[in-house]
Amino acid sequence: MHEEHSTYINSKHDISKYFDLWYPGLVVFAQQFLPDQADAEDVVQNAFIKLFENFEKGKHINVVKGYLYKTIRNKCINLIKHEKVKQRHAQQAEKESFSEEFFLEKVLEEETMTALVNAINTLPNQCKEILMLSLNGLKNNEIAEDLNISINTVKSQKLRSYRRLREQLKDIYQIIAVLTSV
Amino acid sequence: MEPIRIAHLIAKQITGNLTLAEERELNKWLESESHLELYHSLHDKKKLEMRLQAYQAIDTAKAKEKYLKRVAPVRSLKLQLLRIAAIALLVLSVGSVIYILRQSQADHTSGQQLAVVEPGQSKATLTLEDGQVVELDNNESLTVKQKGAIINNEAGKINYEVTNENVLSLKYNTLQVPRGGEYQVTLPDGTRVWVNSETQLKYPVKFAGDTRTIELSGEAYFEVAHNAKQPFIVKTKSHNIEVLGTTFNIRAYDDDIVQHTTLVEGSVQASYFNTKGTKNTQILKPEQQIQFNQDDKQAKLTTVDTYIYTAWKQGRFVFRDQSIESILNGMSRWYDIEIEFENQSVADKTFSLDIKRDAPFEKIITVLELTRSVEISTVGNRIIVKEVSE
Repeated sequence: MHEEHSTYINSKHDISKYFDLWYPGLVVFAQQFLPDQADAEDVVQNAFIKLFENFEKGKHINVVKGYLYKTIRNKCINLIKHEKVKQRHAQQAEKESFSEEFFLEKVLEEETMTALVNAINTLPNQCKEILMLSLNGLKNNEIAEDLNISINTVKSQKLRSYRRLREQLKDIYQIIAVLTSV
Repeated sequence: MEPIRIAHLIAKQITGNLTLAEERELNKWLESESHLELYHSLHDKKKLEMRLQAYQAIDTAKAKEKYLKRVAPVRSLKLQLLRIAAIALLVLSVGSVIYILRQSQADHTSGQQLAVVEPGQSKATLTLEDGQVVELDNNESLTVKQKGAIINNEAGKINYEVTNENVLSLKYNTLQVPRGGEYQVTLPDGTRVWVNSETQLKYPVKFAGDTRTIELSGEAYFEVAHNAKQPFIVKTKSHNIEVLGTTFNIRAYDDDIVQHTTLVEGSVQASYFNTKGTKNTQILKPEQQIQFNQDDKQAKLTTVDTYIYTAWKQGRFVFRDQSIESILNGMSRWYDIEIEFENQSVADKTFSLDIKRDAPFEKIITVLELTRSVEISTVGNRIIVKEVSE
């Protein structure tokens, strides 16, 4: 009840500690506005730079991330409004993607996915592989056949994965990234 | 930002790790039709699968490298030269330190090693009613019989088994945890106590009478077994806490001016005497903390994040926006260290930290130095904190 939402960033040099965890999700988020990956990556890169330059210490991690999302959204919208990109965008889609609801919805979607993906990435390779196949809809016996291992191994590895994921998500917002290196 | 909070809840829920309170919060949010629709779309495994691939297709390492280059400070030639000079000087001085150390080692045939500051561990002494002292540690299981109870010690914990013998007066045991130690005790009524470093806990081996009264000096976390007929009372130098059954943390070190009790669950009543000698009482609700100032005998009630005050019991040190002075003082009992600051301005620098307690102190130094604002050196168990000039 009290372990989450408890992390603050105190130095602008600590932003880089979050870069790996946040970057991919933010790029996919930006692609909701700008489909081109290179454009999206540029926008996210610039948002991180802006955050670094305007950093105020002692901000809560969620406030910092919220700032990134807003900056990215605004930059994307500016780009869309700007010249060329506009022609490729249908009027209707544009209207929808400029709305506050669309923004909040996409933030929520990407945050959930980022939390899950980052947790899954910390799993040992075999666990991860099994989990991915199971997400693909494969049954235990099919996974066992695919990977040439026993059904019991599949079951126990799945159990292990879920246990690990639970632990991971418990800590996800709690641990300062600086400290994950310890 | 609300979506981030909700996202966190959904992610936890997908892996089946939601607490009751969080479930209520999530359900409230789901009352809206559009939220519900969005929520269901997030449980789509294909979406997650797509993300796992999409994230992998993004070259994060390359992007990070670019970012780090762009935010790196620009060094002038003069600064670079100064830096080289500083490194040269450092190499020279390290060289001479090693030389001096070798010399002094040659002098002392014992050849003392440079000590690593180790974290604390499970250790304590138990003083029985008759004055007998028992050393307790993690490694050795042992059973001590005394009138009224049998004490079992195993894996850093002791517990009491009450025997049927009639005990006329209350017989007391005292558990003393030294600096660099911690211990757990289960009292005869089933109450569990986590006892922190440099702490003394005095309790009867069998509770009798109207109350279950124990005495504390130092810090301990309590999970009190419920018994409405026999309230549980903790006495400290600055205040008493009376409970029926609940969970709370008391930090009452004699040399701390401000002592406090933090309530995690249930309800407790704190009582204390002001300077005029009048008794005051205050009921605490969960997530409230009462602070007693030993100087002016005033009490202050605040709402806190209990995690910060109870994390030690889960083996973590948690500090939020606190001066490095209070952070290191907070750690000094566990690592058994003495701290010195170059000046007050460095002592006042603030940090946030959430770190495992079982790390050697060197790791904490590394983390604090990563901020590039302090420089920490150790001489035995003396820690010296200096400012880093930009």
